[in-house]
Amino acid sequence: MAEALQPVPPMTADPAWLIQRCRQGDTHAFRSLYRQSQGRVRSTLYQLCGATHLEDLVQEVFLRVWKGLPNLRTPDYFHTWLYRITWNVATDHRRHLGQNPPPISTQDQETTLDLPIKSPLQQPDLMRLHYQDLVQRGLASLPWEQGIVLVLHDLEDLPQKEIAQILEVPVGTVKSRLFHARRALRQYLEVQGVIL
Amino acid sequence: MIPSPPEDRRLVAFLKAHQPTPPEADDRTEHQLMARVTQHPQDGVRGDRRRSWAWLPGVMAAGLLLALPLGAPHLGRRSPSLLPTSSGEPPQHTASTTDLNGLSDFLWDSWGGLLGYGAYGLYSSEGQVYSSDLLFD
Repeated sequence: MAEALQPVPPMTADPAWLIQRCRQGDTHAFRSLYRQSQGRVRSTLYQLCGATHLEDLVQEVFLRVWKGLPNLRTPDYFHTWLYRITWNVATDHRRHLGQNPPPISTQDQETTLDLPIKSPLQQPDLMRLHYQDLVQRGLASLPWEQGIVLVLHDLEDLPQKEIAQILEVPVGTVKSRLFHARRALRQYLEVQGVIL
Repeated sequence: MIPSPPEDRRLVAFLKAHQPTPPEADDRTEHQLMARVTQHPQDGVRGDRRRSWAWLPGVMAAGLLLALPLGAPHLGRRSPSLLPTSSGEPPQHTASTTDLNGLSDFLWDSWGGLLGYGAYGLYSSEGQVYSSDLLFD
Protein backbone atom coordinates (compact mmCIF):
# COMPACT_ATOMS: atom_id res chain seq x y z
CA MET A 1 0.00 0.00 0.00
CA ALA A 2 2.92 2.31 0.67
CA GLU A 3 3.87 2.04 -2.98
CA ALA A 4 0.40 3.17 -3.99
CA LEU A 5 0.99 6.46 -2.19
CA GLN A 6 4.06 7.28 -4.24
CA PRO A 7 3.42 9.94 -6.88
CA VAL A 8 3.49 8.98 -10.54
CA PRO A 9 6.60 10.56 -12.13
CA PRO A 10 5.73 13.44 -14.44
CA MET A 11 5.33 12.97 -18.18
CA THR A 12 8.53 14.95 -18.67
CA ALA A 13 10.63 12.55 -16.61
CA ASP A 14 13.79 11.31 -18.29
CA PRO A 15 12.92 8.09 -20.16
CA ALA A 16 16.26 6.52 -19.23
CA TRP A 17 15.53 7.13 -15.56
CA LEU A 18 12.00 5.75 -15.94
CA ILE A 19 13.32 2.65 -17.65
CA GLN A 20 15.83 2.14 -14.88
CA ARG A 21 13.06 2.43 -12.29
CA CYS A 22 10.85 0.05 -14.27
CA ARG A 23 13.65 -2.50 -14.38
CA GLN A 24 13.54 -2.42 -10.60
CA GLY A 25 9.82 -3.15 -10.59
CA ASP A 26 8.53 0.40 -10.08
CA THR A 27 4.97 0.35 -11.46
CA HIS A 28 4.56 4.11 -11.02
CA ALA A 29 7.51 4.73 -13.30
CA PHE A 30 5.98 2.26 -15.74
CA ARG A 31 2.71 4.19 -15.76
CA SER A 32 4.63 7.32 -16.67
CA LEU A 33 6.62 5.47 -19.33
CA TYR A 34 3.34 4.19 -20.76
CA ARG A 35 1.93 7.71 -20.93
CA GLN A 36 5.06 8.93 -22.69
CA SER A 37 5.17 6.12 -25.26
CA GLN A 38 1.61 4.98 -25.86
CA GLY A 39 0.95 7.56 -28.57
CA ARG A 40 3.39 6.13 -31.08
CA VAL A 41 2.37 2.54 -30.26
CA ARG A 42 -1.30 3.40 -30.60
CA SER A 43 -0.74 5.21 -33.88
CA THR A 44 1.32 2.40 -35.42
CA LEU A 45 -1.12 -0.29 -34.34
CA TYR A 46 -4.03 1.73 -35.65
CA GLN A 47 -2.44 2.10 -39.07
CA LEU A 48 -1.70 -1.63 -39.20
CA CYS A 49 -4.67 -3.24 -37.47
CA GLY A 50 -7.50 -0.71 -37.35
CA ALA A 51 -9.57 0.32 -34.37
CA THR A 52 -11.49 -2.82 -33.50
CA HIS A 53 -8.92 -4.43 -31.18
CA LEU A 54 -6.77 -1.40 -30.63
CA GLU A 55 -7.11 -1.16 -26.84
CA ASP A 56 -6.34 -4.86 -26.35
CA LEU A 57 -3.31 -4.66 -28.63
CA VAL A 58 -1.92 -1.60 -26.88
CA GLN A 59 -2.27 -3.40 -23.57
CA GLU A 60 -0.53 -6.46 -24.96
CA VAL A 61 2.41 -4.41 -26.21
CA PHE A 62 2.98 -2.72 -22.87
CA LEU A 63 2.50 -5.91 -20.91
CA ARG A 64 5.31 -7.46 -22.97
CA VAL A 65 7.36 -4.31 -22.38
CA TRP A 66 6.87 -4.59 -18.64
CA LYS A 67 7.83 -8.24 -18.57
CA GLY A 68 10.83 -7.83 -20.84
CA LEU A 69 12.31 -4.58 -19.54
CA PRO A 70 14.72 -6.22 -17.08
CA ASN A 71 16.49 -7.77 -20.06
CA LEU A 72 16.82 -4.60 -22.12
CA ARG A 73 20.52 -3.76 -22.25
CA THR A 74 20.55 -0.03 -22.85
CA PRO A 75 17.75 2.54 -22.59
CA ASP A 76 18.95 4.04 -25.88
CA TYR A 77 17.42 1.07 -27.68
CA PHE A 78 14.09 1.36 -25.91
CA HIS A 79 12.14 2.88 -28.77
CA THR A 80 13.57 0.45 -31.33
CA TRP A 81 12.67 -2.37 -28.98
CA LEU A 82 9.22 -0.90 -28.37
CA TYR A 83 8.50 -0.76 -32.10
CA ARG A 84 9.72 -4.32 -32.50
CA ILE A 85 7.31 -5.53 -29.84
CA THR A 86 4.56 -3.50 -31.50
CA TRP A 87 5.37 -5.16 -34.80
CA ASN A 88 5.35 -8.61 -33.15
CA VAL A 89 2.00 -7.99 -31.48
CA ALA A 90 0.48 -6.71 -34.73
CA THR A 91 1.82 -9.73 -36.60
CA ASP A 92 0.53 -12.13 -33.95
CA HIS A 93 -2.85 -10.43 -34.15
CA ARG A 94 -2.90 -10.77 -37.91
CA ARG A 95 -2.02 -14.46 -37.65
CA HIS A 96 -4.77 -14.88 -35.10
CA LEU A 97 -7.31 -13.39 -37.49
CA GLY A 98 -6.01 -15.45 -40.38
CA GLN A 99 -3.59 -14.86 -43.16
CA ASN A 100 -5.74 -12.23 -44.85
CA PRO A 101 -5.40 -8.62 -43.78
CA PRO A 102 -8.23 -7.63 -41.46
CA PRO A 103 -10.98 -5.79 -43.31
CA ILE A 104 -11.87 -2.36 -42.12
CA SER A 105 -14.76 -2.94 -39.80
CA THR A 106 -17.89 -0.96 -39.30
CA GLN A 107 -16.35 0.46 -36.14
CA ASP A 108 -13.32 1.62 -38.09
CA GLN A 109 -15.53 3.31 -40.61
CA GLU A 110 -17.50 4.98 -37.87
CA THR A 111 -14.39 6.45 -36.31
CA THR A 112 -13.52 8.20 -39.54
CA LEU A 113 -16.79 8.85 -41.29
CA ASP A 114 -19.65 9.00 -38.83
CA LEU A 115 -19.66 12.70 -38.06
CA PRO A 116 -22.72 14.89 -38.38
CA ILE A 117 -22.70 17.34 -41.24
CA LYS A 118 -24.12 20.61 -40.03
CA SER A 119 -23.39 23.05 -42.79
CA PRO A 120 -21.81 23.34 -46.22
CA LEU A 121 -18.80 24.91 -44.52
CA GLN A 122 -17.92 21.48 -43.21
CA GLN A 123 -17.56 20.01 -46.66
CA PRO A 124 -13.75 20.32 -46.50
CA ASP A 125 -13.85 18.23 -43.31
CA LEU A 126 -15.86 15.62 -45.13
CA MET A 127 -13.28 15.59 -47.92
CA ARG A 128 -10.50 15.24 -45.37
CA LEU A 129 -12.29 12.29 -43.78
CA HIS A 130 -12.78 10.76 -47.18
CA TYR A 131 -9.06 11.02 -47.87
CA GLN A 132 -8.24 9.58 -44.43
CA ASP A 133 -10.50 6.66 -45.21
CA LEU A 134 -8.78 6.17 -48.56
CA VAL A 135 -5.35 6.22 -46.94
CA GLN A 136 -6.43 3.68 -44.35
CA ARG A 137 -7.89 1.40 -46.99
CA GLY A 138 -4.80 1.86 -49.12
CA LEU A 139 -2.55 0.87 -46.23
CA ALA A 140 -4.71 -2.18 -45.59
CA SER A 141 -4.38 -3.18 -49.24
CA LEU A 142 -0.58 -3.34 -49.07
CA PRO A 143 1.31 -6.56 -48.44
CA TRP A 144 1.95 -6.84 -44.70
CA GLU A 145 5.74 -6.45 -44.81
CA GLN A 146 5.48 -3.44 -47.10
CA GLY A 147 2.78 -1.73 -45.06
CA ILE A 148 4.84 -1.69 -41.86
CA VAL A 149 7.82 -0.17 -43.65
CA LEU A 150 5.71 2.59 -45.16
CA VAL A 151 3.99 3.31 -41.83
CA LEU A 152 7.24 3.47 -39.89
CA HIS A 153 9.13 5.49 -42.49
CA ASP A 154 6.59 7.84 -44.00
CA LEU A 155 4.14 8.26 -41.13
CA GLU A 156 6.25 7.69 -38.01
CA ASP A 157 9.37 9.28 -39.53
CA LEU A 158 11.77 6.53 -38.49
CA PRO A 159 15.05 6.27 -40.41
CA GLN A 160 15.55 3.27 -42.64
CA LYS A 161 18.40 1.97 -40.51
CA GLU A 162 16.21 1.83 -37.42
CA ILE A 163 13.42 0.15 -39.38
CA ALA A 164 15.94 -2.45 -40.49
CA GLN A 165 16.82 -3.08 -36.83
CA ILE A 166 13.18 -3.30 -35.83
CA LEU A 167 12.29 -5.78 -38.56
CA GLU A 168 15.67 -7.54 -38.45
CA VAL A 169 16.16 -7.22 -42.20
CA PRO A 170 18.92 -5.55 -44.24
CA VAL A 171 18.57 -1.86 -45.04
CA GLY A 172 18.37 -2.77 -48.73
CA THR A 173 15.25 -4.81 -48.00
CA VAL A 174 13.70 -1.80 -46.27
CA LYS A 175 14.47 0.37 -49.30
CA SER A 176 12.96 -2.20 -51.65
CA ARG A 177 9.81 -2.64 -49.59
CA LEU A 178 9.39 1.11 -49.30
CA PHE A 179 9.72 1.53 -53.05
CA HIS A 180 7.11 -1.11 -53.79
CA ALA A 181 4.77 0.08 -51.03
CA ARG A 182 4.82 3.66 -52.31
CA ARG A 183 4.25 2.58 -55.87
CA ALA A 184 1.32 0.35 -54.92
CA LEU A 185 -0.24 2.97 -52.67
CA ARG A 186 0.16 5.67 -55.31
CA GLN A 187 -1.57 3.46 -57.86
CA TYR A 188 -4.36 2.70 -55.38
CA LEU A 189 -4.96 6.37 -54.64
CA GLU A 190 -4.90 7.32 -58.30
CA VAL A 191 -7.45 4.63 -59.13
CA GLN A 192 -9.61 6.13 -56.36
CA GLY A 193 -9.43 9.49 -58.09
CA VAL A 194 -6.80 11.20 -55.98
CA ILE A 195 -4.52 13.48 -57.98
CA LEU A 196 -1.09 13.60 -56.39
CA MET B 1 21.81 10.86 -49.48
CA ILE B 2 19.72 10.68 -52.64
CA PRO B 3 16.67 12.95 -52.46
CA SER B 4 13.30 11.35 -52.97
CA PRO B 5 11.70 11.74 -56.38
CA PRO B 6 9.03 14.46 -56.57
CA GLU B 7 6.24 11.92 -56.89
CA ASP B 8 7.37 10.27 -53.65
CA ARG B 9 7.48 13.61 -51.87
CA ARG B 10 3.96 14.41 -53.03
CA LEU B 11 2.72 11.01 -51.91
CA VAL B 12 4.32 11.32 -48.47
CA ALA B 13 2.93 14.82 -48.05
CA PHE B 14 -0.54 13.52 -48.92
CA LEU B 15 -0.19 10.62 -46.50
CA LYS B 16 0.94 12.88 -43.68
CA ALA B 17 -1.87 15.32 -44.34
CA HIS B 18 -4.48 12.58 -44.30
CA GLN B 19 -2.95 10.14 -41.87
CA PRO B 20 -5.69 8.19 -40.09
CA THR B 21 -5.72 9.34 -36.50
CA PRO B 22 -6.42 6.73 -33.83
CA PRO B 23 -9.19 7.30 -31.30
CA GLU B 24 -8.20 9.01 -28.10
CA ALA B 25 -6.53 6.83 -25.49
CA ASP B 26 -9.07 5.32 -23.18
CA ASP B 27 -8.46 5.74 -19.41
CA ARG B 28 -9.76 2.22 -18.92
CA THR B 29 -6.92 0.88 -21.01
CA GLU B 30 -4.39 2.39 -18.63
CA HIS B 31 -6.24 1.10 -15.56
CA GLN B 32 -6.56 -2.39 -17.01
CA LEU B 33 -2.92 -2.40 -18.05
CA MET B 34 -1.71 -1.36 -14.62
CA ALA B 35 -3.92 -4.03 -13.04
CA ARG B 36 -2.36 -6.65 -15.31
CA VAL B 37 1.12 -5.31 -14.63
CA THR B 38 0.74 -5.83 -10.90
CA GLN B 39 -0.35 -9.42 -11.56
CA HIS B 40 2.48 -10.29 -13.95
CA PRO B 41 6.01 -10.55 -12.64
CA GLN B 42 8.82 -9.27 -14.78
CA ASP B 43 11.15 -11.71 -16.49
CA GLY B 44 14.28 -12.45 -14.53
CA VAL B 45 17.46 -10.92 -15.87
CA ARG B 46 19.05 -13.34 -18.25
CA GLY B 47 22.76 -13.86 -18.10
CA ASP B 48 25.27 -13.00 -20.77
CA ARG B 49 26.17 -15.72 -23.22
CA ARG B 50 29.77 -15.42 -22.07
CA ARG B 51 28.69 -15.93 -18.50
CA SER B 52 26.70 -18.97 -19.55
CA TRP B 53 29.96 -20.70 -20.47
CA ALA B 54 30.98 -20.59 -16.83
CA TRP B 55 29.20 -23.88 -16.19
CA LEU B 56 31.16 -25.73 -18.86
CA PRO B 57 34.47 -26.30 -17.03
CA GLY B 58 32.62 -27.64 -14.01
CA VAL B 59 30.60 -30.05 -16.08
CA MET B 60 33.70 -31.14 -17.99
CA ALA B 61 35.57 -31.72 -14.75
CA ALA B 62 32.68 -33.77 -13.45
CA GLY B 63 32.65 -35.74 -16.68
CA LEU B 64 36.35 -36.44 -16.41
CA LEU B 65 35.96 -37.55 -12.82
CA LEU B 66 33.22 -39.91 -13.88
CA ALA B 67 35.36 -41.19 -16.73
CA LEU B 68 38.36 -41.76 -14.46
CA PRO B 69 37.21 -45.11 -13.02
CA LEU B 70 36.63 -46.38 -16.53
CA GLY B 71 40.13 -45.43 -17.51
CA ALA B 72 41.82 -46.64 -14.37
CA PRO B 73 42.58 -50.14 -15.72
CA HIS B 74 44.50 -48.50 -18.52
CA LEU B 75 46.60 -46.18 -16.34
CA GLY B 76 49.59 -48.44 -16.35
CA ARG B 77 49.64 -48.74 -20.11
CA ARG B 78 51.74 -46.61 -22.34
CA SER B 79 49.90 -43.78 -24.10
CA PRO B 80 49.77 -43.82 -27.85
CA SER B 81 51.97 -41.24 -29.51
CA LEU B 82 51.67 -39.03 -32.57
CA LEU B 83 55.39 -39.35 -33.22
CA PRO B 84 56.60 -42.10 -35.56
CA THR B 85 57.57 -45.20 -33.75
CA SER B 86 61.07 -46.54 -33.81
CA SER B 87 59.87 -49.44 -35.94
CA GLY B 88 58.70 -47.00 -38.61
CA GLU B 89 55.01 -47.74 -38.14
CA PRO B 90 52.60 -44.82 -38.65
CA PRO B 91 51.69 -42.98 -35.43
CA GLN B 92 48.54 -44.01 -33.65
CA HIS B 93 45.83 -41.39 -33.30
CA THR B 94 45.54 -40.16 -29.73
CA ALA B 95 42.32 -41.26 -28.21
CA SER B 96 42.43 -38.64 -25.45
CA THR B 97 42.08 -35.57 -27.75
CA THR B 98 39.21 -36.93 -29.80
CA ASP B 99 37.48 -38.18 -26.72
CA LEU B 100 37.67 -34.76 -25.08
CA ASN B 101 36.37 -33.04 -28.20
CA GLY B 102 33.56 -35.52 -28.45
CA LEU B 103 32.78 -35.07 -24.78
CA SER B 104 32.67 -31.29 -25.23
CA ASP B 105 30.34 -31.58 -28.21
CA PHE B 106 28.16 -34.04 -26.38
CA LEU B 107 27.89 -31.81 -23.34
CA TRP B 108 27.09 -28.75 -25.45
CA ASP B 109 24.47 -30.60 -27.47
CA SER B 110 22.81 -32.19 -24.49
CA TRP B 111 23.03 -29.34 -21.97
CA GLY B 112 23.00 -26.25 -24.20
CA GLY B 113 19.39 -26.79 -25.20
CA LEU B 114 18.29 -26.81 -21.58
CA LEU B 115 19.48 -23.22 -21.26
CA GLY B 116 17.25 -22.10 -24.12
CA TYR B 117 19.90 -21.14 -26.65
CA GLY B 118 18.95 -21.76 -30.23
CA ALA B 119 20.85 -20.89 -33.34
CA TYR B 120 19.35 -17.41 -33.56
CA GLY B 121 19.03 -16.14 -30.02
CA LEU B 122 17.23 -16.53 -26.80
CA TYR B 123 13.61 -17.56 -26.70
CA SER B 124 11.36 -15.88 -24.20
CA SER B 125 8.53 -17.52 -22.40
CA GLU B 126 6.18 -15.98 -24.99
CA GLY B 127 7.89 -17.53 -27.97
CA GLN B 128 9.44 -14.30 -29.17
CA VAL B 129 13.00 -14.26 -30.33
CA TYR B 130 14.85 -11.37 -28.81
CA SER B 131 17.85 -10.14 -30.68
CA SER B 132 21.02 -10.40 -28.67
CA ASP B 133 22.03 -6.88 -29.65
CA LEU B 134 19.19 -5.41 -27.64
CA LEU B 135 19.24 -7.62 -24.62
CA PHE B 136 21.47 -8.55 -21.76
CA ASP B 137 23.39 -6.43 -19.33
